[in-house]
Amino acid sequence: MVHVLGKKLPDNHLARFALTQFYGVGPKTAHRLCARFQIHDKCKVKDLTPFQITSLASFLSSPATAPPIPRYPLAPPKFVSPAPTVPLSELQAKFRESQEALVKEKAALAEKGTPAKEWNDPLKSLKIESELRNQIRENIAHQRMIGSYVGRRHAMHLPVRGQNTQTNAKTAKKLNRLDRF
Amino acid sequence: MSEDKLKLPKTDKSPAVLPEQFEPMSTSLNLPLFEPKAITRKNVGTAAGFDLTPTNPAKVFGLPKKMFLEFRILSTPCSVIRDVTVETKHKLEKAKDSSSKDSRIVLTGRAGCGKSFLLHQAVQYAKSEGWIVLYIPRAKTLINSTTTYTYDLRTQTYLQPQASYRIVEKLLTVNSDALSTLTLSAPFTVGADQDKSKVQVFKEGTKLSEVAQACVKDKSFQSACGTLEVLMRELEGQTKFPVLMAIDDFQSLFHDTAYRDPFFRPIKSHHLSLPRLILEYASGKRNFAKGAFLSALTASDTQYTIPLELQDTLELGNRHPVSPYVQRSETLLQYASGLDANAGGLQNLKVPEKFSVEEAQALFEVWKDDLALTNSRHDESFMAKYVESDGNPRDFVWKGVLASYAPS
Repeated sequence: MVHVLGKKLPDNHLARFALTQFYGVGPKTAHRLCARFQIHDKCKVKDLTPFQITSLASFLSSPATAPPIPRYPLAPPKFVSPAPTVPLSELQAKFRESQEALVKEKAALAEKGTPAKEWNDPLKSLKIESELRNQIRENIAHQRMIGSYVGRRHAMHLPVRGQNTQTNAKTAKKLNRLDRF
Repeated sequence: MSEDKLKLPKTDKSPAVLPEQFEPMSTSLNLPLFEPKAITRKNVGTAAGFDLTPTNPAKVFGLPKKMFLEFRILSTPCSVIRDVTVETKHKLEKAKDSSSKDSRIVLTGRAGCGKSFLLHQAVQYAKSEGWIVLYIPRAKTLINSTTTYTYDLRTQTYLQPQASYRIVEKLLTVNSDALSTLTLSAPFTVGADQDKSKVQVFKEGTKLSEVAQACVKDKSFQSACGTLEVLMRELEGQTKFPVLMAIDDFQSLFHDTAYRDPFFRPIKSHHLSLPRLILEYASGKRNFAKGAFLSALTASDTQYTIPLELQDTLELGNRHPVSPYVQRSETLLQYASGLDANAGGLQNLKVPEKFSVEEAQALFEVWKDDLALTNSRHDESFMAKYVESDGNPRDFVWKGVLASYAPS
Protein backbone atom coordinates (compact mmCIF):
# COMPACT_ATOMS: atom_id res chain seq x y z
CA MET A 1 0.00 0.00 0.00
CA VAL A 2 1.54 3.30 -1.09
CA HIS A 3 0.33 6.70 0.11
CA VAL A 4 0.88 9.58 -2.27
CA LEU A 5 -0.40 13.05 -1.31
CA GLY A 6 -2.79 11.48 1.15
CA LYS A 7 -4.30 9.07 -1.38
CA LYS A 8 -4.07 5.33 -0.84
CA LEU A 9 -2.87 3.49 -3.99
CA PRO A 10 -3.57 -0.27 -3.61
CA ASP A 11 -0.57 -2.52 -4.33
CA ASN A 12 -2.23 -4.81 -6.85
CA HIS A 13 -3.65 -2.06 -9.03
CA LEU A 14 -1.94 -1.03 -12.26
CA ALA A 15 -0.06 2.21 -11.58
CA ARG A 16 -1.54 3.77 -14.71
CA PHE A 17 -5.08 3.40 -13.36
CA ALA A 18 -4.26 3.86 -9.69
CA LEU A 19 -3.18 7.43 -10.53
CA THR A 20 -6.75 8.21 -11.65
CA GLN A 21 -7.64 8.19 -7.93
CA PHE A 22 -6.53 11.81 -7.86
CA TYR A 23 -9.26 14.35 -8.53
CA GLY A 24 -8.30 15.93 -11.85
CA VAL A 25 -6.32 12.95 -13.20
CA GLY A 26 -8.10 10.77 -15.75
CA PRO A 27 -6.79 7.92 -17.93
CA LYS A 28 -5.04 10.23 -20.44
CA THR A 29 -3.26 12.32 -17.81
CA ALA A 30 -2.31 9.18 -15.89
CA HIS A 31 -0.76 7.72 -19.07
CA ARG A 32 1.27 10.90 -19.57
CA LEU A 33 2.39 10.85 -15.93
CA CYS A 34 3.56 7.25 -16.29
CA ALA A 35 5.50 8.12 -19.45
CA ARG A 36 7.12 11.08 -17.64
CA PHE A 37 8.54 8.75 -14.97
CA GLN A 38 9.19 5.72 -17.23
CA ILE A 39 6.48 3.54 -15.70
CA HIS A 40 5.42 0.87 -18.21
CA ASP A 41 1.73 0.15 -18.92
CA LYS A 42 1.51 -3.10 -16.95
CA CYS A 43 3.45 -1.85 -13.90
CA LYS A 44 1.65 -2.51 -10.63
CA VAL A 45 1.88 -0.07 -7.71
CA LYS A 46 3.90 -2.63 -5.70
CA ASP A 47 6.54 -2.71 -8.51
CA LEU A 48 7.15 1.06 -8.43
CA THR A 49 10.66 1.98 -7.24
CA PRO A 50 10.98 4.39 -4.30
CA PHE A 51 12.55 6.94 -6.70
CA GLN A 52 9.51 6.77 -8.99
CA ILE A 53 7.11 7.19 -6.05
CA THR A 54 8.96 10.21 -4.65
CA SER A 55 9.23 11.80 -8.13
CA LEU A 56 5.49 11.29 -8.68
CA ALA A 57 4.65 12.75 -5.29
CA SER A 58 6.89 15.78 -5.75
CA PHE A 59 5.54 16.37 -9.27
CA LEU A 60 1.88 16.10 -8.26
CA SER A 61 2.36 18.42 -5.28
CA SER A 62 3.13 21.25 -7.73
CA PRO A 63 3.10 20.38 -11.45
CA ALA A 64 3.69 23.98 -12.57
CA THR A 65 7.04 24.28 -10.81
CA ALA A 66 8.43 20.91 -11.98
CA PRO A 67 11.84 21.06 -13.70
CA PRO A 68 11.84 20.77 -17.51
CA ILE A 69 12.45 17.31 -18.97
CA PRO A 70 15.98 16.90 -20.36
CA ARG A 71 16.14 15.95 -24.04
CA TYR A 72 18.32 12.85 -23.92
CA PRO A 73 20.01 11.84 -27.20
CA LEU A 74 18.88 8.62 -28.93
CA ALA A 75 21.37 6.35 -30.68
CA PRO A 76 21.39 6.33 -34.50
CA PRO A 77 21.88 2.89 -36.18
CA LYS A 78 25.69 3.08 -36.43
CA PHE A 79 26.23 4.45 -32.93
CA VAL A 80 29.11 2.96 -30.95
CA SER A 81 28.80 3.35 -27.17
CA PRO A 82 31.83 4.72 -25.29
CA ALA A 83 34.24 2.22 -23.68
CA PRO A 84 33.29 0.93 -20.19
CA THR A 85 36.43 2.68 -18.82
CA VAL A 86 34.79 6.08 -19.45
CA PRO A 87 32.92 6.80 -16.20
CA LEU A 88 29.22 7.65 -16.35
CA SER A 89 29.85 10.91 -14.49
CA GLU A 90 31.96 12.13 -17.44
CA LEU A 91 29.15 11.34 -19.90
CA GLN A 92 26.64 13.11 -17.64
CA ALA A 93 28.93 16.16 -17.42
CA LYS A 94 29.22 16.29 -21.23
CA PHE A 95 25.43 16.02 -21.55
CA ARG A 96 24.92 18.84 -19.04
CA GLU A 97 27.32 21.04 -20.99
CA SER A 98 25.43 20.37 -24.23
CA GLN A 99 22.14 21.24 -22.51
CA GLU A 100 23.60 24.52 -21.17
CA ALA A 101 24.82 25.37 -24.66
CA LEU A 102 21.29 24.77 -26.00
CA VAL A 103 19.81 27.07 -23.32
CA LYS A 104 22.30 29.82 -24.29
CA GLU A 105 21.36 29.39 -27.98
CA LYS A 106 17.67 29.72 -27.15
CA ALA A 107 18.34 32.84 -25.06
CA ALA A 108 20.35 34.37 -27.92
CA LEU A 109 17.52 33.67 -30.38
CA ALA A 110 14.99 35.18 -27.98
CA GLU A 111 17.12 38.34 -27.72
CA LYS A 112 17.25 38.64 -31.50
CA GLY A 113 13.49 38.56 -31.55
CA THR A 114 12.99 35.11 -33.10
CA PRO A 115 12.32 32.89 -30.07
CA ALA A 116 12.56 29.14 -30.57
CA LYS A 117 9.23 27.28 -30.48
CA GLU A 118 8.79 25.74 -27.01
CA TRP A 119 7.02 22.42 -26.53
CA ASN A 120 3.71 23.03 -24.78
CA ASP A 121 3.81 20.49 -21.92
CA PRO A 122 0.18 19.52 -21.08
CA LEU A 123 1.25 18.38 -17.61
CA LYS A 124 2.68 21.80 -16.75
CA SER A 125 -0.83 23.24 -16.50
CA LEU A 126 -2.15 20.22 -14.59
CA LYS A 127 -4.28 21.07 -11.57
CA ILE A 128 -5.38 18.37 -9.14
CA GLU A 129 -7.27 18.01 -5.88
CA SER A 130 -7.72 21.20 -3.86
CA GLU A 131 -6.24 23.50 -6.56
CA LEU A 132 -8.73 22.22 -9.10
CA ARG A 133 -11.67 22.46 -6.72
CA ASN A 134 -10.67 26.05 -5.90
CA GLN A 135 -10.51 26.88 -9.59
CA ILE A 136 -14.02 25.50 -10.16
CA ARG A 137 -15.38 27.45 -7.16
CA GLU A 138 -13.74 30.62 -8.43
CA ASN A 139 -15.21 30.11 -11.92
CA ILE A 140 -18.72 29.73 -10.51
CA ALA A 141 -18.22 32.77 -8.24
CA HIS A 142 -17.02 34.83 -11.22
CA GLN A 143 -20.09 33.88 -13.27
CA ARG A 144 -22.34 34.95 -10.38
CA MET A 145 -20.41 38.19 -9.85
CA ILE A 146 -20.81 39.32 -13.46
CA GLY A 147 -24.53 38.48 -13.24
CA SER A 148 -24.51 35.93 -16.09
CA TYR A 149 -27.16 33.31 -16.90
CA VAL A 150 -24.69 30.58 -15.88
CA GLY A 151 -24.26 32.24 -12.46
CA ARG A 152 -28.03 32.54 -11.94
CA ARG A 153 -28.59 28.88 -12.80
CA HIS A 154 -25.93 27.80 -10.31
CA ALA A 155 -27.58 29.97 -7.66
CA MET A 156 -31.03 28.46 -8.40
CA HIS A 157 -29.60 24.86 -8.29
CA LEU A 158 -30.84 24.26 -11.86
CA PRO A 159 -29.16 22.90 -15.03
CA VAL A 160 -26.75 25.36 -16.63
CA ARG A 161 -26.30 24.08 -20.16
CA GLY A 162 -29.82 24.20 -21.51
CA GLN A 163 -31.06 20.80 -20.34
CA ASN A 164 -34.73 19.99 -19.76
CA THR A 165 -36.22 20.99 -16.42
CA GLN A 166 -39.81 19.83 -17.00
CA THR A 167 -38.51 16.33 -16.40
CA ASN A 168 -35.17 15.11 -15.03
CA ALA A 169 -32.61 17.75 -13.81
CA LYS A 170 -32.17 15.69 -10.65
CA THR A 171 -28.35 15.88 -10.67
CA ALA A 172 -28.39 19.67 -11.16
CA LYS A 173 -30.85 20.13 -8.33
CA LYS A 174 -28.60 18.03 -6.10
CA LEU A 175 -25.16 19.34 -7.04
CA ASN A 176 -25.34 22.81 -8.64
CA ARG A 177 -24.39 25.28 -5.93
CA LEU A 178 -22.56 28.56 -5.64
CA ASP A 179 -20.31 27.02 -3.03
CA ARG A 180 -19.85 23.76 -4.90
CA PHE A 181 -17.07 21.68 -3.25
CA MET B 1 -18.41 -44.90 -32.00
CA SER B 2 -17.22 -44.10 -28.49
CA GLU B 3 -20.04 -41.56 -28.12
CA ASP B 4 -22.50 -44.49 -28.07
CA LYS B 5 -21.02 -45.56 -24.78
CA LEU B 6 -21.48 -42.08 -23.23
CA LYS B 7 -24.22 -42.38 -20.66
CA LEU B 8 -26.64 -39.47 -20.75
CA PRO B 9 -27.55 -38.06 -17.35
CA LYS B 10 -30.89 -39.38 -16.10
CA THR B 11 -30.69 -38.67 -12.41
CA ASP B 12 -28.26 -37.19 -9.93
CA LYS B 13 -27.40 -40.73 -8.89
CA SER B 14 -26.21 -41.82 -12.35
CA PRO B 15 -24.44 -38.82 -13.92
CA ALA B 16 -22.89 -38.84 -17.41
CA VAL B 17 -19.53 -40.59 -17.46
CA LEU B 18 -16.78 -40.22 -20.05
CA PRO B 19 -15.42 -43.48 -21.42
CA GLU B 20 -11.91 -44.45 -20.27
CA GLN B 21 -10.13 -43.37 -23.43
CA PHE B 22 -11.30 -39.74 -22.96
CA GLU B 23 -9.77 -39.47 -19.50
CA PRO B 24 -6.80 -37.07 -19.42
CA MET B 25 -3.37 -38.67 -19.92
CA SER B 26 -4.97 -41.97 -20.97
CA THR B 27 -3.80 -41.82 -24.59
CA SER B 28 -0.33 -41.09 -25.86
CA LEU B 29 0.64 -40.81 -29.45
CA ASN B 30 3.39 -43.29 -30.25
CA LEU B 31 5.38 -41.10 -32.58
CA PRO B 32 9.04 -41.29 -33.56
CA LEU B 33 11.25 -38.69 -31.89
CA PHE B 34 12.01 -35.46 -33.76
CA GLU B 35 15.78 -35.75 -34.09
CA PRO B 36 18.31 -34.64 -36.71
CA LYS B 37 18.66 -38.08 -38.29
CA ALA B 38 14.86 -38.25 -38.77
CA ILE B 39 14.83 -35.12 -40.96
CA THR B 40 15.42 -36.67 -44.38
CA ARG B 41 13.66 -36.63 -47.76
CA LYS B 42 12.41 -40.16 -47.02
CA ASN B 43 10.65 -39.00 -43.87
CA VAL B 44 8.85 -36.05 -45.48
CA GLY B 45 5.20 -36.58 -44.69
CA THR B 46 5.69 -38.22 -41.29
CA ALA B 47 4.86 -36.78 -37.88
CA ALA B 48 7.51 -36.71 -35.16
CA GLY B 49 7.12 -35.83 -31.48
CA PHE B 50 9.29 -33.46 -29.45
CA ASP B 51 11.06 -34.67 -26.32
CA LEU B 52 9.76 -33.41 -22.99
CA THR B 53 13.00 -32.83 -21.04
CA PRO B 54 13.02 -29.82 -18.65
CA THR B 55 15.72 -28.04 -20.71
CA ASN B 56 13.80 -28.32 -23.98
CA PRO B 57 13.76 -24.84 -25.61
CA ALA B 58 9.95 -25.01 -25.97
CA LYS B 59 9.51 -25.55 -22.21
CA VAL B 60 12.02 -22.88 -21.19
CA PHE B 61 11.67 -20.15 -23.85
CA GLY B 62 7.98 -20.78 -24.43
CA LEU B 63 5.99 -21.05 -27.63
CA PRO B 64 4.00 -18.74 -29.93
CA LYS B 65 0.43 -18.54 -28.68
CA LYS B 66 -1.32 -20.49 -31.45
CA MET B 67 1.24 -23.29 -31.28
CA PHE B 68 0.88 -23.42 -27.49
CA LEU B 69 -2.90 -23.79 -27.81
CA GLU B 70 -2.46 -26.67 -30.26
CA PHE B 71 0.09 -28.49 -28.08
CA ARG B 72 -2.19 -28.02 -25.09
CA ILE B 73 -4.86 -30.16 -26.77
CA LEU B 74 -2.51 -32.79 -28.19
CA SER B 75 -1.30 -35.66 -25.99
CA THR B 76 2.26 -35.21 -27.26
CA PRO B 77 3.67 -32.04 -28.84
CA CYS B 78 4.56 -32.99 -32.39
CA SER B 79 4.84 -31.68 -35.91
CA VAL B 80 5.06 -32.94 -39.47
CA ILE B 81 8.39 -33.13 -41.30
CA ARG B 82 7.98 -31.23 -44.54
CA ASP B 83 10.11 -30.55 -47.62
CA VAL B 84 10.89 -27.13 -46.28
CA THR B 85 12.07 -28.68 -42.97
CA VAL B 86 14.70 -30.64 -44.87
CA GLU B 87 15.65 -27.47 -46.80
CA THR B 88 16.05 -25.51 -43.56
CA LYS B 89 18.12 -28.32 -42.06
CA HIS B 90 20.52 -28.12 -45.05
CA LYS B 91 20.77 -24.34 -44.65
CA LEU B 92 21.60 -24.72 -40.95
CA GLU B 93 24.19 -27.41 -41.75
CA LYS B 94 25.91 -24.94 -44.10
CA ALA B 95 25.58 -22.14 -41.54
CA LYS B 96 27.22 -24.23 -38.81
CA ASP B 97 30.72 -23.40 -40.01
CA SER B 98 30.23 -19.88 -41.31
CA SER B 99 29.44 -16.47 -39.88
CA SER B 100 25.81 -15.58 -39.21
CA LYS B 101 26.31 -12.68 -41.66
CA ASP B 102 25.79 -15.17 -44.50
CA SER B 103 22.78 -16.86 -42.90
CA ARG B 104 20.26 -14.17 -41.97
CA ILE B 105 16.99 -15.78 -43.00
CA VAL B 106 13.37 -14.65 -42.71
CA LEU B 107 10.59 -17.23 -43.11
CA THR B 108 7.71 -15.73 -45.06
CA GLY B 109 4.42 -16.94 -46.40
CA ARG B 110 0.68 -16.74 -46.08
CA ALA B 111 -1.00 -16.68 -42.66
CA GLY B 112 -1.16 -20.20 -41.25
CA CYS B 113 1.30 -21.79 -43.68
CA GLY B 114 3.62 -23.07 -40.93
CA LYS B 115 6.36 -20.44 -40.42
CA SER B 116 6.33 -20.57 -36.61
CA PHE B 117 6.22 -24.38 -36.65
CA LEU B 118 9.20 -24.46 -39.03
CA LEU B 119 11.14 -22.03 -36.84
CA HIS B 120 10.38 -24.22 -33.84
CA GLN B 121 11.57 -27.31 -35.72
CA ALA B 122 14.80 -25.46 -36.57
CA VAL B 123 15.29 -24.58 -32.89
CA GLN B 124 14.77 -28.22 -31.85
CA TYR B 125 17.16 -29.41 -34.57
CA ALA B 126 19.86 -26.92 -33.54
CA LYS B 127 19.55 -27.85 -29.86
CA SER B 128 19.90 -31.57 -30.66
CA GLU B 129 22.97 -30.81 -32.78
CA GLY B 130 24.65 -29.01 -29.85
CA TRP B 131 24.16 -25.42 -30.98
CA ILE B 132 23.67 -22.61 -28.48
CA VAL B 133 20.07 -21.54 -28.95
CA LEU B 134 18.41 -18.20 -28.18
CA TYR B 135 14.70 -18.49 -29.06
CA ILE B 136 12.27 -15.60 -28.67
CA PRO B 137 8.81 -17.03 -29.55
CA ARG B 138 6.85 -13.78 -29.08
CA ALA B 139 9.02 -10.78 -29.96
CA LYS B 140 6.06 -8.44 -29.51
CA THR B 141 6.30 -8.94 -25.72
CA LEU B 142 9.54 -6.91 -25.95
CA ILE B 143 7.73 -3.87 -27.37
CA ASN B 144 4.22 -3.91 -25.87
CA SER B 145 5.15 -2.06 -22.66
CA THR B 146 4.85 -5.00 -20.28
CA THR B 147 8.31 -4.83 -18.66
CA THR B 148 10.44 -2.16 -17.05
CA TYR B 149 12.42 0.35 -19.12
CA THR B 150 14.98 2.95 -18.18
CA TYR B 151 17.08 5.40 -20.21
CA ASP B 152 20.84 4.80 -20.26
CA LEU B 153 23.17 7.65 -21.26
CA ARG B 154 26.05 5.31 -22.13
CA THR B 155 24.23 3.36 -24.86
CA GLN B 156 21.79 6.25 -25.61
CA THR B 157 18.96 3.70 -25.63
CA TYR B 158 16.26 2.58 -23.23
CA LEU B 159 17.42 -0.53 -21.36
CA GLN B 160 14.95 -3.30 -20.47
CA PRO B 161 16.23 -4.83 -17.21
CA GLN B 162 13.36 -7.25 -16.54
CA ALA B 163 13.19 -8.61 -20.11
CA SER B 164 17.02 -8.93 -20.23
CA TYR B 165 16.94 -10.85 -16.94
CA ARG B 166 14.38 -13.32 -18.30
CA ILE B 167 16.48 -13.91 -21.42
CA VAL B 168 19.70 -14.48 -19.41
CA GLU B 169 17.82 -16.90 -17.13
CA LYS B 170 16.39 -18.88 -20.06
CA LEU B 171 19.66 -18.84 -22.01
CA LEU B 172 21.42 -20.27 -18.97
CA THR B 173 18.79 -22.98 -18.37
CA VAL B 174 18.78 -24.27 -21.96
CA ASN B 175 22.51 -23.92 -22.73
CA SER B 176 24.10 -24.48 -19.31
CA ASP B 177 26.44 -27.24 -20.57
CA ALA B 178 27.79 -25.11 -23.40
CA LEU B 179 28.08 -21.96 -21.28
CA SER B 180 30.06 -23.80 -18.60
CA THR B 181 32.75 -24.69 -21.16
CA LEU B 182 33.02 -21.12 -22.51
CA THR B 183 34.97 -18.44 -20.60
CA LEU B 184 35.29 -14.67 -20.54
CA SER B 185 37.94 -13.32 -22.92
CA ALA B 186 38.24 -10.05 -20.98
CA PRO B 187 37.49 -8.98 -17.37
CA PHE B 188 33.91 -7.84 -16.83
CA THR B 189 32.74 -5.33 -14.21
CA VAL B 190 29.10 -5.42 -13.14
CA GLY B 191 27.25 -2.45 -11.71
CA ALA B 192 29.85 0.27 -12.26
CA ASP B 193 27.21 2.69 -13.53
CA GLN B 194 24.64 2.00 -10.83
CA ASP B 195 26.06 1.64 -7.33
CA LYS B 196 29.83 1.95 -6.91
CA SER B 197 29.75 0.09 -3.58
CA LYS B 198 28.19 -3.03 -5.15
CA VAL B 199 30.60 -3.44 -8.05
CA GLN B 200 31.44 -7.06 -8.91
CA VAL B 201 34.43 -7.93 -11.08
CA PHE B 202 34.68 -11.17 -13.05
CA LYS B 203 38.23 -12.05 -14.07
CA GLU B 204 39.26 -13.17 -17.52
CA GLY B 205 38.73 -16.92 -17.78
CA THR B 206 35.59 -17.05 -15.61
CA LYS B 207 32.97 -19.46 -16.95
CA LEU B 208 30.05 -17.77 -18.70
CA SER B 209 27.64 -19.96 -16.70
CA GLU B 210 29.01 -18.43 -13.47
CA VAL B 211 28.53 -14.91 -14.81
CA ALA B 212 24.95 -15.76 -15.84
CA GLN B 213 24.19 -17.42 -12.49
CA ALA B 214 25.39 -14.34 -10.61
CA CYS B 215 23.00 -12.25 -12.72
CA VAL B 216 20.09 -14.66 -12.09
CA LYS B 217 20.69 -14.50 -8.30
CA ASP B 218 20.45 -10.69 -8.32
CA LYS B 219 16.65 -10.28 -8.22
CA SER B 220 16.85 -6.50 -8.60
CA PHE B 221 17.57 -6.98 -12.36
CA GLN B 222 20.31 -4.32 -12.11
CA SER B 223 23.05 -6.40 -13.69
CA ALA B 224 20.87 -8.08 -16.32
CA CYS B 225 21.48 -5.69 -19.22
CA GLY B 226 25.26 -5.61 -18.77
CA THR B 227 25.43 -9.39 -18.32
CA LEU B 228 23.35 -10.08 -21.44
CA GLU B 229 25.55 -7.70 -23.44
CA VAL B 230 28.76 -9.42 -22.32
CA LEU B 231 27.28 -12.90 -22.92
CA MET B 232 26.28 -11.94 -26.49
CA ARG B 233 29.76 -10.46 -27.16
CA GLU B 234 31.42 -13.67 -25.96
CA LEU B 235 29.06 -15.86 -28.02
CA GLU B 236 29.87 -13.71 -31.08
CA GLY B 237 33.60 -14.27 -30.69
CA GLN B 238 33.70 -17.99 -29.81
CA THR B 239 33.90 -20.70 -32.47
CA LYS B 240 33.36 -23.78 -30.29
CA PHE B 241 29.56 -23.83 -30.64
CA PRO B 242 27.46 -22.43 -33.49
CA VAL B 243 24.79 -20.01 -32.21
CA LEU B 244 21.20 -19.87 -33.46
CA MET B 245 19.18 -16.73 -32.79
CA ALA B 246 15.54 -17.58 -33.59
CA ILE B 247 12.95 -14.80 -33.48
CA ASP B 248 9.23 -15.21 -34.11
CA ASP B 249 6.96 -12.14 -34.66
CA PHE B 250 9.94 -10.49 -36.36
CA GLN B 251 7.81 -7.89 -38.15
CA SER B 252 6.74 -6.38 -34.80
CA LEU B 253 10.28 -5.04 -34.33
CA PHE B 254 9.74 -2.70 -37.27
CA HIS B 255 6.92 -0.79 -35.59
CA ASP B 256 6.75 1.97 -33.00
CA THR B 257 6.63 0.39 -29.57
CA ALA B 258 3.93 0.86 -26.94
CA TYR B 259 6.55 2.45 -24.68
CA ARG B 260 6.51 6.26 -24.40
CA ASP B 261 9.35 8.66 -23.70
CA PRO B 262 8.92 11.47 -21.10
CA PHE B 263 7.58 13.70 -23.90
CA PHE B 264 4.87 11.07 -24.57
CA ARG B 265 6.23 10.24 -28.03
CA PRO B 266 6.24 6.50 -28.90
CA ILE B 267 9.74 5.04 -28.55
CA LYS B 268 11.09 3.47 -31.75
CA SER B 269 12.01 -0.21 -31.49
CA HIS B 270 15.66 0.46 -32.37
CA HIS B 271 15.90 2.74 -29.34
CA LEU B 272 15.01 -0.12 -26.96
CA SER B 273 17.92 -2.37 -25.97
CA LEU B 274 16.51 -5.82 -26.81
CA PRO B 275 14.80 -5.07 -30.14
CA ARG B 276 17.95 -3.13 -31.11
CA LEU B 277 20.10 -6.15 -30.26
CA ILE B 278 17.93 -8.37 -32.47
CA LEU B 279 17.91 -5.84 -35.33
CA GLU B 280 21.69 -5.54 -35.18
CA TYR B 281 22.09 -9.28 -35.70
CA ALA B 282 19.40 -9.20 -38.40
CA SER B 283 21.12 -6.41 -40.29
CA GLY B 284 24.61 -7.90 -40.08
CA LYS B 285 26.02 -5.10 -37.92
CA ARG B 286 26.85 -7.77 -35.32
CA ASN B 287 27.50 -11.38 -36.25
CA PHE B 288 28.23 -14.70 -34.63
CA ALA B 289 31.52 -16.16 -35.80
CA LYS B 290 29.60 -19.38 -36.38
CA GLY B 291 25.85 -19.59 -36.52
CA ALA B 292 22.69 -18.22 -38.04
CA PHE B 293 19.93 -15.70 -37.54
CA LEU B 294 16.54 -17.23 -38.32
CA SER B 295 13.28 -15.34 -37.98
CA ALA B 296 9.63 -15.82 -38.86
CA LEU B 297 6.98 -13.25 -39.67
CA THR B 298 3.47 -13.38 -38.24
CA ALA B 299 1.08 -12.55 -41.06
CA SER B 300 -2.07 -12.81 -38.94
CA ASP B 301 -1.33 -10.06 -36.39
CA THR B 302 -3.46 -7.01 -37.11
CA GLN B 303 -1.76 -4.79 -34.53
CA TYR B 304 1.76 -5.41 -35.81
CA THR B 305 1.34 -5.86 -39.54
CA ILE B 306 4.20 -6.60 -41.94
CA PRO B 307 5.60 -3.10 -42.64
CA LEU B 308 6.33 -1.64 -46.06
CA GLU B 309 10.07 -1.63 -45.40
CA LEU B 310 10.09 -5.42 -44.99
CA GLN B 311 7.65 -5.92 -47.86
CA ASP B 312 9.98 -3.94 -50.13
CA THR B 313 13.29 -5.52 -49.10
CA LEU B 314 11.98 -9.11 -48.98
CA GLU B 315 9.93 -8.60 -52.16
CA LEU B 316 6.83 -10.01 -50.54
CA GLY B 317 4.43 -8.30 -52.92
CA ASN B 318 1.50 -6.17 -51.78
CA ARG B 319 -2.08 -7.25 -51.39
CA HIS B 320 -3.23 -3.73 -52.08
CA PRO B 321 -1.57 -1.21 -54.39
CA VAL B 322 0.94 0.89 -52.48
CA SER B 323 1.82 4.40 -53.54
CA PRO B 324 5.54 5.04 -54.08
CA TYR B 325 4.99 8.34 -52.26
CA VAL B 326 4.17 6.62 -48.95
CA GLN B 327 7.10 7.34 -46.66
CA ARG B 328 9.37 4.45 -45.70
CA SER B 329 11.55 4.94 -42.64
CA GLU B 330 15.21 5.31 -43.65
CA THR B 331 16.43 3.68 -40.44
CA LEU B 332 14.17 0.66 -40.76
CA LEU B 333 15.12 0.26 -44.43
CA GLN B 334 18.76 0.23 -43.32
CA TYR B 335 18.06 -2.47 -40.75
CA ALA B 336 16.09 -4.57 -43.25
CA SER B 337 18.54 -4.28 -46.12
CA GLY B 338 21.74 -4.60 -44.08
CA LEU B 339 23.66 -1.87 -42.25
CA ASP B 340 26.90 -2.92 -43.89
CA ALA B 341 27.18 -2.55 -47.66
CA ASN B 342 28.95 -5.91 -47.81
CA ALA B 343 26.41 -7.69 -45.62
CA GLY B 344 23.58 -7.66 -48.09
CA GLY B 345 19.95 -7.89 -47.08
CA LEU B 346 17.90 -10.52 -45.29
CA GLN B 347 17.29 -13.74 -47.21
CA ASN B 348 13.69 -14.66 -47.82
CA LEU B 349 12.81 -18.33 -47.33
CA LYS B 350 9.27 -18.86 -48.61
CA VAL B 351 7.32 -21.48 -46.71
CA PRO B 352 4.93 -23.33 -49.09
CA GLU B 353 1.36 -22.10 -48.69
CA LYS B 354 -0.15 -25.58 -48.91
CA PHE B 355 0.47 -28.91 -47.27
CA SER B 356 1.23 -31.65 -49.74
CA VAL B 357 -1.26 -34.53 -49.53
CA GLU B 358 1.23 -36.78 -47.67
CA GLU B 359 1.98 -34.08 -45.10
CA ALA B 360 -1.72 -33.43 -44.56
CA GLN B 361 -2.34 -37.16 -44.22
CA ALA B 362 0.32 -37.44 -41.51
CA LEU B 363 -1.24 -34.60 -39.52
CA PHE B 364 -4.75 -36.01 -40.00
CA GLU B 365 -3.61 -39.36 -38.61
CA VAL B 366 -2.10 -37.64 -35.56
CA TRP B 367 -5.45 -36.02 -34.74
CA LYS B 368 -7.31 -39.23 -35.56
CA ASP B 369 -5.12 -41.23 -33.16
CA ASP B 370 -5.64 -38.55 -30.53
CA LEU B 371 -9.43 -39.06 -30.75
CA ALA B 372 -10.25 -35.66 -32.21
CA LEU B 373 -12.54 -36.95 -34.97
CA THR B 374 -16.22 -37.50 -34.46
CA ASN B 375 -16.98 -39.96 -37.25
CA SER B 376 -15.42 -43.04 -38.77
CA ARG B 377 -15.53 -41.93 -42.43
CA HIS B 378 -11.90 -40.82 -42.33
CA ASP B 379 -11.02 -40.81 -46.03
CA GLU B 380 -14.03 -38.70 -46.99
CA SER B 381 -13.57 -36.20 -44.18
CA PHE B 382 -9.82 -35.94 -44.91
CA MET B 383 -10.36 -35.07 -48.58
CA ALA B 384 -13.21 -32.70 -47.71
CA LYS B 385 -11.21 -30.82 -45.08
CA TYR B 386 -8.09 -30.71 -47.26
CA VAL B 387 -10.00 -29.13 -50.12
CA GLU B 388 -12.03 -26.76 -47.90
CA SER B 389 -8.88 -25.41 -46.24
CA ASP B 390 -7.00 -25.26 -49.58
CA GLY B 391 -4.19 -27.19 -47.88
CA ASN B 392 -3.48 -24.31 -45.47
CA PRO B 393 -2.01 -26.04 -42.38
CA ARG B 394 -3.69 -23.88 -39.72
CA ASP B 395 -7.10 -23.89 -41.38
CA PHE B 396 -6.82 -27.64 -41.99
CA VAL B 397 -6.41 -28.28 -38.25
CA TRP B 398 -8.53 -25.56 -36.64
CA LYS B 399 -11.28 -25.02 -39.19
CA GLY B 400 -11.18 -28.52 -40.65
CA VAL B 401 -10.37 -31.33 -38.24
CA LEU B 402 -11.25 -29.62 -34.96
CA ALA B 403 -14.18 -27.51 -36.06
CA SER B 404 -16.30 -30.09 -37.83
CA TYR B 405 -18.93 -32.24 -36.18
CA ALA B 406 -20.25 -34.95 -38.45
CA PRO B 407 -21.76 -37.84 -36.55
CA SER B 408 -21.43 -41.24 -38.22
